[in-house]
Amino acid sequence: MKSFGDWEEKSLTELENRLIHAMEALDEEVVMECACKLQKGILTFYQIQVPLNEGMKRVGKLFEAGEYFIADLMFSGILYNQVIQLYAMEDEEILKENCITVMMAVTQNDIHDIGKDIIASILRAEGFRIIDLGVDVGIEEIIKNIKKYEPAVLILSGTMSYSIDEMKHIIEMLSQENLRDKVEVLIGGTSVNDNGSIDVGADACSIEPMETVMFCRKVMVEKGA
Amino acid sequence: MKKVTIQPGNKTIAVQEGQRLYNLFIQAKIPVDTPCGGRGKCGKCNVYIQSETKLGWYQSCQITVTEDMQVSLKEPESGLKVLEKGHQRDWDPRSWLSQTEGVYVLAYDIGTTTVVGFLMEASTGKVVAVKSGLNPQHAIAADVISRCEYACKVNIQDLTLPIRDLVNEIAQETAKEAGISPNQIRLVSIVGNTSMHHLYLGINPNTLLKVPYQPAVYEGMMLKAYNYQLLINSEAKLIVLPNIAGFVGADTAAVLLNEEFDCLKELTLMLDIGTNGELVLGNAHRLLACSTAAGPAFEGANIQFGMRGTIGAIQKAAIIETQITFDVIGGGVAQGICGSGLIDLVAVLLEIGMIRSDGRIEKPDKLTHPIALHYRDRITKKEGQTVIILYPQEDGQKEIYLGQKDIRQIQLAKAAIHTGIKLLCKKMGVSTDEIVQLRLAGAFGAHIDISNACRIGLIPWNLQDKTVSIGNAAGEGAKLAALSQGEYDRCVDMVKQVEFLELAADQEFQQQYFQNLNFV
Repeated sequence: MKSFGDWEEKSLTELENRLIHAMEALDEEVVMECACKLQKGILTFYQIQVPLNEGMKRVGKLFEAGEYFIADLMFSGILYNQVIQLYAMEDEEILKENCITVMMAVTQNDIHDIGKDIIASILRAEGFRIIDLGVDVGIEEIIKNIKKYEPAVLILSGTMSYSIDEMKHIIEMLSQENLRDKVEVLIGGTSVNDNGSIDVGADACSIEPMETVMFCRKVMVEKGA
Repeated sequence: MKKVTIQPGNKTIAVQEGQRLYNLFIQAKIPVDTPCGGRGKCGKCNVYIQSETKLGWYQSCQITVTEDMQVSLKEPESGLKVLEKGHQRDWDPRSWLSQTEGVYVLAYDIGTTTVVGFLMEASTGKVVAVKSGLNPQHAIAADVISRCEYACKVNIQDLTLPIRDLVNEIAQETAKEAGISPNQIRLVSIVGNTSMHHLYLGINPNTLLKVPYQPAVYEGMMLKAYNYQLLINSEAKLIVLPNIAGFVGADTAAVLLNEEFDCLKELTLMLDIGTNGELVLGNAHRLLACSTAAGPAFEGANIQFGMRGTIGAIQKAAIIETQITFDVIGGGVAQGICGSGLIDLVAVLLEIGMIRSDGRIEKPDKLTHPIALHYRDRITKKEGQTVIILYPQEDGQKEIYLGQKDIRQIQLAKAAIHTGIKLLCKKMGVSTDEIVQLRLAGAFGAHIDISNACRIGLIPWNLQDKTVSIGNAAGEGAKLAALSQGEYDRCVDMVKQVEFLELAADQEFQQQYFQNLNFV
């Protein structure tokens, strides 16, 4: 970060705080106003993630409390992408770096895909490249596609209570195939919620949609920065 | 002085002429539900009056005693409301039995929660005894999926034997009540959802848990009752109605039979709302069915103060003058809210702007409706969640509130049903306007307020005036199948005609579903 005098430091913090609050309130106008100012040589693409993430975290909390609903989550993704586009206008590399691949699948013998699709919509809105394998996806299918697309993140979703066992098998198979180190695995869906923190060897387990989104963004920043 | 005789109890009270009947009840401490405080607005204090000048239901708060009268109160509600009544119709006289005199048949509706058995005279169809009981499988799990998983992973017998025991128990009890020998029962019919069907018969339900979620057995069956621990006539038959699809079972088949979908000329929609909503759209020419995961919100699950429709449940909510008033089953202290109450409540709160059309609870400082302003202080926070207090904590009354998350659950549930209706119509190539009648089956359908159900978007607006409640049509269908082989055959034929629409596989489902989440 560039060095600033006392006054500038203060106004920077203020600006970041305004961005956080505007993101939380899903106030498009103020988000873009703050982001425009911050983008002009003050914060790098990776630095602006901090206030953006804080704002998104708060959106997630509001969703958990029921205040925000599905459409609000999707809108937050759209806002995020608008900020990315600001940076991309000056540096197209940003888009490529930001564009990690996320593979998603609903595990075998389950076709409940609303949750997966909500996450996919938000991630797409944010600019992630999504490979959606769909529903009722078998282990072989997942392994085959991981080899083909080499995603940075694999998201497994399951609603049926036996889905958690299926996830465990998939992760075991990834290890056998020496793919486990190459991909971050996140599990989610009601199956995961109901089974609490059952250890199936995943890198993260998500109860709330925003946790999944934040996880992907964390992986993205780690890979890019 | 005039004499007023009150039933039940056969109590006769001498009354001064000109006294209000309603005041008499209050003085005599006779429980009559009066949410409007005797202003003639709610119709809850209705009583059945027989006198020289009157015969029928009257609001007791509007009646002055001027003559001797016989007054019957509504039956006090007790325990879980089990819907036993449907609309009995004529049936095809081809009986299963060569001889029907002195012979009885038993029809069962095996529900996830309750089991009802109807004992009938085989020759006349007259119901001579009805018994119901709670499904003992509840001890293992409340929902069907968990029960099926238990059956596959642990042991199906733990689920099969208790339900067979209950069914036999009901057979013995009804026989006893009717004063007949169990040996006189020559035939039993069974309907239930696919899970109950499989678990009762002892069929492994694993295919219900796996894509594409199909029953292991679709076909209707004629079995021997003695193989199913039914201690009735050793020659007795056990008739099982056919299943339609994975989550559209023999109970829905029985509804189709009772409602004679094979004879309907006009486009009719049948809706049965439970944890799963089962929908059938069509007429004699074509039948389309789907099931939609409404979730158990309307059964009170996943709702902070949700409960089933038992004593203490808020079953109705309405605005009366400037107050939101509640009707609590049994009339006593409120314990929670059941499905019909939730629908009313959300509709009322939408009406006065305490809930916004996107489902959020409005900020207290943004309320404008005069009634909402009156309840402004009821909007508060509980553990980070915005809630609306329905009953503040007082002596003998626990605090009851409706939370923001509860409203979200209702949105998810109502959107699922609404989307199911829309997609069935689309598949049929019609608009919801073209539906001539909506028939609501089951207990929930019998108790909900239709205009409020439309207000919250559970049912499309244009069906509001076309809706009828058909009660326990599944139970009625089971009765018909027990009385008549002709009716059973009709049911089998109808089920063969039904096309099943898998909503989850429908590309449009999600998009429509998201669109339907808001209240309109």
